[in-house]
Order: sequence, then C-alpha cells, then structure tokens
Amino acid sequence: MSERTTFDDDPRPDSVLAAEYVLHLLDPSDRRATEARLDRDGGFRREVAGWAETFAPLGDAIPEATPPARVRSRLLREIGEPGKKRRLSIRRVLLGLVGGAGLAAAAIVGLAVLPEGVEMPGAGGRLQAELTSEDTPYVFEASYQDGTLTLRREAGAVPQGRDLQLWLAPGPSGGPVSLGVLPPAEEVRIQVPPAIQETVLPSALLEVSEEPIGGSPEAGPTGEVLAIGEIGDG
Amino acid sequence: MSGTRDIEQLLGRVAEGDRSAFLRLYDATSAKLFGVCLHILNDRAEAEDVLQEVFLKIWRSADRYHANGFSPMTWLITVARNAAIDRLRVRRSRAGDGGHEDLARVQDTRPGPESAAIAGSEAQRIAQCLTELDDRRADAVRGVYLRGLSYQDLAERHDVPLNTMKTWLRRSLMLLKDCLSR
Repeated sequence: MSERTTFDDDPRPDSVLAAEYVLHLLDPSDRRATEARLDRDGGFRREVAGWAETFAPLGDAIPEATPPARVRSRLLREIGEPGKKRRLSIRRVLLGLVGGAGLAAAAIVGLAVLPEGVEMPGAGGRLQAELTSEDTPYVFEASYQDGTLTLRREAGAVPQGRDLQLWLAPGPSGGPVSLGVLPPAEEVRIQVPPAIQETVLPSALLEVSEEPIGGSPEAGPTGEVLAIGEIGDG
Repeated sequence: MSGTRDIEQLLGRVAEGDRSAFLRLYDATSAKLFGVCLHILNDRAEAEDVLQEVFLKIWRSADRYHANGFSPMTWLITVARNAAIDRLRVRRSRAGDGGHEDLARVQDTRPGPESAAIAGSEAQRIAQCLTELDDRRADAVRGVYLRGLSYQDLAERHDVPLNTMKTWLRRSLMLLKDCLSR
C-alpha cells in the first residue's frame, strides 16, 4: 500500500468515492484529499453521512465486549494531564498504599452505612482523595482504610428532592460501582463490601452524583456528577 | 446503552471538555466500541490499545462531531472501526505475506455477524440491496465493512490484479447505490 500524491486514474462518481471513504478503502493520500473536500462541500458531506448510516446496521450484530478496567483508568490519567482541556479539577491528596491489585469477581453486594462514632479499624494503608468540581460548589474529603470509607461533605448542600450517591470507578466489572446513597449527615462512614475493596486503588476515581430519591435506577450514575476526585499515591 | 439523544448530549459536553461527561460516554459506549475493535483485530491486547486511542481521539475531537451529519453512535463506531482497520494494516504490513494467510484462515473459520438476522428499516434496506448483488459482490462489501479488508486483501483472495479488484468493487458499490436509491 504505497502512498500516492494523486487520486488513481479510475474515474468514479462521487457517491462511490464517498462509499470508499466510509469503508476506509482509500489510501492515506486520497483519504486526506477527501477529508479536505468534506470540509468545504456540503453535498459530498451528506453523501458520506448517508453511506455511513446505510452501512451502520451491518455492525449491529457485532457483540459487545466489556473492556478491561485498566483502559478506563489509563484514559483518566491521560485526560487529567495538565495542559489538556478539562473542567473538573482533580487534586490528589494521597498517602500510602492499600491491598492487592487482584480483580475480584463482580458480585451483588449489600452495603452498610455505619453509625457515626464507630471505631476505625487499626493500622493499614490509608488512602485519601478530595472530590471537587470547577462547575459546582461541592467539596468532599474522602479517606479509606481497611474497608471503611469516610466521606465528609465540606461544601455544597444536598439538593432538594434528590439524593447524593457515591461511586467508585472502575469497579470490579470495569464500569462505576455504587458505594451507596449518602445519608444527609455531613460525615458518613461506609463499609465497602469485600468484593469492591480490591478495586479501591490509587488512580481509581470517587464520584458523587445527584440522583432520584433512592439512588440511580441504572447500574451507573444517571444525574450530574457533582464532584470527582482521584485516589492516588501522591 | 443510552439513547441517541443521551449520547448526543454527552458528546456536546465532552466537546466542551467536561470530564465527567466523558466518563459517562465511556461507560455507555465502550463495550460496543471494544466489540468492534475486537471483531476487526481478533486480538484482545491490540483491541484494548486501539480502544484507548479511540477514546482519546473522541475526547480531543468531539467538537468536530456536529459538523459531519452522522448519528452519534455511527460516528463513534466509525472512529473505532477506522482506528482498528489502521492497526490491522500496520500489523499486516509488518507481517508481510504471512499476515494475509493468517487473516484468511481466521476469517474463514470464525462465525461472524454477516449471517445474523438484521432488524430495522435502514437495516432491511442494506440487507435487501446486498441480496440483490451476486454473492461474491455482497461478500466483498461485507468483508470490507466488517473485517476491514483492503483492496489488496480482496485482490489476493480473488487472485486478480489490484486495479481489476478496484474497478470490480466500485462497480459493486454503484449497483448498491442504484438499489438504495430506488
């Protein structure tokens, strides 16, 4: 597949060129020339979009496959780099390390929010994160040790008629996993189920979203993410 | 998977650099896009690598989405499909001719969605028009779309010169267009 600087000689109508572009059959130089034309030729752009929608159903039967959780973690590191565009600021405040990195099998888990004043378990790696957003006034401080996560709401109120829900991402199955709907208290302690504990790791994210009363009706957050923070070993 | 309007809204927010919207978009679409990469590459490690590249591309170029007139899932799948095909071609150019043999073997034995029932009106249109082509033409179009076959791959499979294959496939696309326009 050598690169040429001109289109090959075989004449063909625009509709065929558009189909070849959509099918990704053009070699790199023809492709670039075609893309330049897309920028200035609305009719050709519609022709390309038409072919894309025409062929799309052929891919409907391709089965979905859940990617490994590390892809999500790596992406978060990439898009969080300074100098890249982003709104949510992630500040890492983290000490120590915790647990092994083995992936637990996904499990349906119960969740116990402990009453305040329960003794924190003894020595062990301690993790911390600060959850913030540039778009909202919310600030939460999280710390985690030996399966117990303490979350303190430093700023921002519980919205009327909504619940706040805490998420860890990635969870055991790769996507975000709920750590529970937050009680209204400013400081809550959450017992993280054993199957999830192994994914409470540096570079994972804690997110607080606002959800319908009782929590998200879906497996992941459905409302606005109000604050987000990265667990790290910074 | 979320609805078309949800994905569209998320893309709009990603275009503005909204990191949480990006995560939501990833959670809603990564399984489909990973499926597409895996289907074309048939190699988990490579598919994983390409998926990461694809989502970075989406993060950086979501602002271009509105200009192209694609529905949101079609656009996302197109980004994934093209990236996977580019990787496939790099792999093959490194592997030399042996790569082509590998490819042919894999494709001949792997059951694919080509034979699966397709639902929906847009879907019925392309399915119907493909049946109007003769089998070799229809198989070539499906192989290009679903397996990322290049003109070179098709020429080798059918044992014809490259330019002959180009003319033949372009003719197939013209016939397809005629049918779709009816």
